[in-house]
Amino acid sequence: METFSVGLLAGTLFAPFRQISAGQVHVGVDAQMRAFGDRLFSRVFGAFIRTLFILIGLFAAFLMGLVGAVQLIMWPLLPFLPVVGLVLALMGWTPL
Amino acid sequence: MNPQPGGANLNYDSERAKKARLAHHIAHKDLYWLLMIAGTVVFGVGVAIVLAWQVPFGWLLAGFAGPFWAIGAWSRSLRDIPPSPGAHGIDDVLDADILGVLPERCTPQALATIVMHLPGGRFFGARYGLGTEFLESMSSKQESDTARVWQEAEHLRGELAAPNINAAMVTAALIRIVPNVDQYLAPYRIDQDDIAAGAAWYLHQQQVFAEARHRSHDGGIGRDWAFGYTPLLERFGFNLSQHITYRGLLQHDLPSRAQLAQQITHLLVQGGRRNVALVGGLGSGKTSVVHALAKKLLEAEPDVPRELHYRQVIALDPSTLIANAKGRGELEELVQHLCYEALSAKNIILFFDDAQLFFEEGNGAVNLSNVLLPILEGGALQIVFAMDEQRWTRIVQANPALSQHMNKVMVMPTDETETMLIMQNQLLSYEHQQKVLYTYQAVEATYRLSSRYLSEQVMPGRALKLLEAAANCAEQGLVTYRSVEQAIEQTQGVKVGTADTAVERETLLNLEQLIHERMINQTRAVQVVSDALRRARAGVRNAQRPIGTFLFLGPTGVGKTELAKSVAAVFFGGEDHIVRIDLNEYSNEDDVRRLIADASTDQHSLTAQIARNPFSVVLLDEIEKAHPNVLNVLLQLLDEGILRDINNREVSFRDAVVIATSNAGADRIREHIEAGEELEHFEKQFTDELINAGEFRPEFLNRFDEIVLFRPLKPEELVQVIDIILKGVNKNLQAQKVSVAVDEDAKRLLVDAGYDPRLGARPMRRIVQRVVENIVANQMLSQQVMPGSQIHITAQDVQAMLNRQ
Repeated sequence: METFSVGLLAGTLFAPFRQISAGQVHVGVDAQMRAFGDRLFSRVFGAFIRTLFILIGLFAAFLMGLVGAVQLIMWPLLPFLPVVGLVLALMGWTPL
Repeated sequence: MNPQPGGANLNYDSERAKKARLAHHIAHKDLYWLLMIAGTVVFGVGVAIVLAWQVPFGWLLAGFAGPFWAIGAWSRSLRDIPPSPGAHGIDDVLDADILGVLPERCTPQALATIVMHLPGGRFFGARYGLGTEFLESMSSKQESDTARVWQEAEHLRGELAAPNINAAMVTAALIRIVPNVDQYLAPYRIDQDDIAAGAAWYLHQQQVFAEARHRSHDGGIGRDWAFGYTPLLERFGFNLSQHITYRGLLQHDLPSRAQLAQQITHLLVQGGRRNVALVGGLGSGKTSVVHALAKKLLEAEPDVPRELHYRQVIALDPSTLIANAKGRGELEELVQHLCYEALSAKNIILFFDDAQLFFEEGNGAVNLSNVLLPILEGGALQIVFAMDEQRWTRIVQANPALSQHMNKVMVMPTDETETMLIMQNQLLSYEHQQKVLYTYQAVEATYRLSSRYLSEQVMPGRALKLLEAAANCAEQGLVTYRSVEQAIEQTQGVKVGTADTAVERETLLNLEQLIHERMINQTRAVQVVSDALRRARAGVRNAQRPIGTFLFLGPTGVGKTELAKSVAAVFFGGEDHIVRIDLNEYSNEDDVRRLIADASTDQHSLTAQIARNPFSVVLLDEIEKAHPNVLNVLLQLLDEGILRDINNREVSFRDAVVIATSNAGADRIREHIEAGEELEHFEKQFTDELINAGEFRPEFLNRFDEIVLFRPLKPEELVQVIDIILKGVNKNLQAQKVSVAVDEDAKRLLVDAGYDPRLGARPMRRIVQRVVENIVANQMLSQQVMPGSQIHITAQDVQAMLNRQ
């Protein structure tokens, strides 16, 4: 989760991306409107990128959790793996 | 983790002990990989058999991977066996690498063999020079004594607040329980406390490594996406946070530094002034505090306010900025742009090192107060300044608004404990870079000698400076206390070790003889001075005072100054090792300031000269003419060997010989001598006379080690003075390959011509110059002498020259 900065990205979801076009403009209505548009785009773009990485981060965390859970379950079973192999061999099952 | 109270009993059959023994056999890194690879191969082959040839037997083979993996994973888990919670015995807290190899019945000697093969034991071998043989030969062969070792080790663990007992603690315990151990340790220049300090050093080192291994939180890949780009700061600044992220910071937080970093974080988020001026002496560690701050912010510790999490600390070096902005107004513009970029980025803390260069005009400095003050007033940008203490005082005196807009935080010099820890931190990287190893004795000597001789910085800077210099004196890669002494001797021109060469010992034992080659009579004066010098070099003097303090009393021209020069030449290696102050020039109240002026304002002040050359003779001429305030200042010098200069910096006189001279009472001495009295018999009476006459205050005279009376020279002694002067003349003539010889009756004639009982030997040099040197000059110019020949001067020659004059 920390590798993908999930908490930080969620906290700054709508912040201008890398502060691009984040400055205030005080001259002329046209310029102010243009700056507003730029800032809005910067925020939307930032939100998109952040959402994407938040999702990737959550998915990675889910995978890690899954691997952990499998390890947790498999660990006590490892010594019994020869027995499982023997049973499968005796059953004569092959996947193909 | 806090240590749990543990007993001194060791249960050999406890679960942890069994686990440790098992780990000793199977918890090897290679074994783990071997088992995991073997398991994977078996599994892969089994599955391949099933899939490729449709043979179900392959399942059985694949199943046999299980035990390989299980044992492999188990062996890995055994590599780190933590102490048992709620420890009851030694087996609960003893490091598994000792516990795993411990025999059921163990003597201290067997234990010594075990620990000396482990890193903790080898640490003592390398750092203290205490090898396996030393430890084994000292350790008891009685099994019953082992309990005492555990008891001592447990005691050390408690003192160090360590979670477990490691090999270093066991080694220290083995040494400390030996009866009269200090006498065995003395040849190594250490004692029991130093051994305990070694265990602490090893533990500290382990903690630093553990912290470095622990991955620091850096915020992840999206950390800076909400913050702006900083191309200008990347070009002109140095990102401390990035440096720490990539390179790490090999240091364990020190209490005082952690406290300062915490204080700064609070100041940087408070309303209004969001800046800090770190003020401290040169070498006090201001930059290290900022490094600690950067690390703290990067790790987003719980006590760091949320808005400071992952802030980047960027250092700006004023001298680099000044060098890069050559045109008029360019620097102001550059600094404004840098500040604006940092403000826009929203995650930058600027750090101005040597910030005094931006607040005053001068060599390499440009006053940017007009640019920086509005930024400080605004309070939007977080800035840390580092400034020298004295410069800060000067700057805020010139510009009081600065102190109003800055949060001053003092960085005090570190104490001995922290300085030792800082040096230990530094050695982790320094030893690796320099390919050297510092002994404990070297580190201890570094602290001791740097605090005494390196006055231009404060701790820990002065210790680190010496630590670095000592590496150049390493022998076979080992930096010992001797390397540190050599480094001091080379850089400061002082002799800090005891006399250790045959030549030096010979010189010291024959000091009187050597001094008398330059001086006639004054046997008692020569002897007391020689005794003081011998005491100093044998290491039996009081190290908290000057080597010797003497008051020479007597008429003019009897050898007072000459003795001071002789001491400088014979003991300190040259007449240039003399700092001469004529105190008749310090007869006003204000002259005290001149005496203790800073080197930057007056290089010839007493304090400045001694700071440059502490291993000197300090000759205070005509002391009776000094103003009483000047004498008061000198009292501290004579008492403690310390003077504080005008900036309150300590200057050490503890390696100097202080000689004060005075003509006070010269006539009385002559009267006593003419009455046929011996000097030794009227010394006390004479001193009382001086006090009663108000020449000196008793507390001043009492400060001197010896008050030495010089007696007037008799005419026959002046003949010997003539001989010494003639030696000098011949030395000067060596270049022309000519020598001069003067008959005995000619010498007597010279003495008669120049003798003045009030002036002693002083006129002798003049008369030799006027007569002998003139004769030589005339003969050389008239080519009566050729190179390789000798000029022979008779009484007639002398008389003729005197008549001519």
